[in-house]
Amino acid sequence: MNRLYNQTQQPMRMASNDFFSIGPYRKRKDQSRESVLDKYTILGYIASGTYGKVFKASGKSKDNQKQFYAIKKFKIDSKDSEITHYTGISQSAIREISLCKELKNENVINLTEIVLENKCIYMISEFAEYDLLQIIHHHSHPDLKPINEQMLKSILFQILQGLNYLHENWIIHRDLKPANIMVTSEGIVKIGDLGLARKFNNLLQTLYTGDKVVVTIWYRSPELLLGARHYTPAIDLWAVGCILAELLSLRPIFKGEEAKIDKKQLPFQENQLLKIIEILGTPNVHSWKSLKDYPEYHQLSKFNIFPPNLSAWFHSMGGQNKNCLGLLSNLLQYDPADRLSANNALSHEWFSESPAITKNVFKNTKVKYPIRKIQKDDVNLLNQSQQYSNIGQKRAIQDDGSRKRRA
Amino acid sequence: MSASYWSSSQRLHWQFTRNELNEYREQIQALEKNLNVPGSDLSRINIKYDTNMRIYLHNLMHKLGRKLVLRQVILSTAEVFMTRFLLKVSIKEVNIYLLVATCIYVACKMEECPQHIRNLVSEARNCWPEFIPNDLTKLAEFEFYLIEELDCFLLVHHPYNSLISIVKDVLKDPRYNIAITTDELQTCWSIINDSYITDMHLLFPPHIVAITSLYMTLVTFSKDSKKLQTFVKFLAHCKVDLDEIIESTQELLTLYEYWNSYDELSLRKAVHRLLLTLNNSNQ
Repeated sequence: MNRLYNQTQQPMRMASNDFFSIGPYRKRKDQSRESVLDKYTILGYIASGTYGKVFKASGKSKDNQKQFYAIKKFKIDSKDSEITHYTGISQSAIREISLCKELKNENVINLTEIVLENKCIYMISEFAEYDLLQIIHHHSHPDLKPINEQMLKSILFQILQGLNYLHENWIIHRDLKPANIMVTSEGIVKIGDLGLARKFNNLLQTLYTGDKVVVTIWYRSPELLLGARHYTPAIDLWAVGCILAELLSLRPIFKGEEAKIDKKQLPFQENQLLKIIEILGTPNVHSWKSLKDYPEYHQLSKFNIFPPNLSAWFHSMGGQNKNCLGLLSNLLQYDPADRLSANNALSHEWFSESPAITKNVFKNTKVKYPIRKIQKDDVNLLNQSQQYSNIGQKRAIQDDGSRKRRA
Repeated sequence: MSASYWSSSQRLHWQFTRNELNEYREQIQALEKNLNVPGSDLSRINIKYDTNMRIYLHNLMHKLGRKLVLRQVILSTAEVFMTRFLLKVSIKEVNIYLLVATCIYVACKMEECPQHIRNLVSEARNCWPEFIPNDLTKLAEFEFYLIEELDCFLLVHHPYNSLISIVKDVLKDPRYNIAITTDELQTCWSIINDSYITDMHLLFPPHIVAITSLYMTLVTFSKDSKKLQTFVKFLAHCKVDLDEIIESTQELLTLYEYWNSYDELSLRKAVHRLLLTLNNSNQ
């Protein structure tokens, strides 16, 4: 007995793979955890992306039975289709989880809770019936039916309110685009998908070091296209400018073709910048003082010289309101230092003139938008398979300005 | 809100009164009584989550942090995660070496300096080969449980920024005109680093810890007595809770007293005995 005791006192030189880790604690926690399926009824599958899969669900308790939720199930970084072991949570999931837990604003998607269960992360948030991609699609198919000015203006105002809240909190969204702007059935705009968002105060490294490529190509600002290392919240306002233009013309204003990403080197997105230059004119050091400092500045010599053309574009799209054009050109300002901030944009004249903005963006519209499609035969939340069903693929085609993120 | 401490999850969800802390710790003690390991008596292993143990854990954290060449703020975030975790979980339920490594792993991601899990495990294993299993999934699993226990609140506000803005802006005000020297600032910084061993970050807002570090530095190290007088004048003017300053000063003084008689060797022995006992019952 005594000898045995001494043996246990003597540590092994190297811990074996099955050395004690969290056994008793895991047992205690697993016994007390309420499963996500005990709390929610899955109604159907909505969409999927690089981040994982999204389902529509309703609550199971008495007070939230009539409430709808979106449940986002994070894809775990794993080569196998079956998740059989833990592999570490991705940086983007950690960001999204931690930021969503801190945020509360009417125009930002509201997180209900996060459930960690059985090697998966489920993010449960309020459900939004529409998004801008859907709304724009409805107005452009089969033929173009412009969005009325009051609704358009109210949408933009609420995007700016949500964005102003994010920026006040030192958060850059970095992936604003129509597909990520939700609208609830009550007509409230919600900025969604904070998977690429990050804090920009107390930086230990440049933003560029963390993620080489941010923002979906059509909404990517010129300073990013020119290789900026130290960019600012102004990149989000460029994207808002692109969204405003898209709400007006019902198609992406700068619909460039993305150069394929080479593993060794990031390509210069020449076609995307050309689309911008064709409408806004060729940038120069008079209007953009720091232009020469950007890593890709020398590429500009490749382009023909174009004159500024935004007001011609605006009028050709049927735009008439001067203030609306004014706001658009302040948002699509080349120099990020001169670009309007979210806070200043909110007090732009366009928002104070008639017709007045409304809290419910659908208030004076008769258009009935199709509700979000769900696939009712896919309600298997726990299914580990990473194969996507058809709706997801269709959606991916619609939204082919694909997002880029680091794995 | 993440910009301001006042509407942060830190203030709303992870700040407690002393009574609340005591209640949590009583719950853990009750839980420990029911922890049974077949064949051995855990209660006979003399291990408590007390100040000595916390100094031990702090040193583990810094040892691994140095190996990985991490910035101080990452370690501070990791230490806050650990302190919060151990408010709800007993050190007799988990492998504390793996806990330290996991907290650092998550803190690196939170502070945007991610480390590859393989690198983290291998460095941790270099530090503590007998206790870190060479199995990435063990650390990845712990990460899941850690984040769940923290209720996914991962954004931490530290006193470092408050310290800088008080020294740079407030104390430069003509009414006080206090110039804090580089040495004094360094001392403040070290005091703040030490504060993570205590309950201060569960009890007080970051600016209280920052002001306490300034106060203690001026009282103990500054030869300029006029500076201290002016600083006391500043304390009287600014509307901070002086009781909290006194309490946190006391907290640190107690820590330093313990530190004087801190005996790492006997602690290490006890921790190792605990882990080997837990490991034997594991198999």
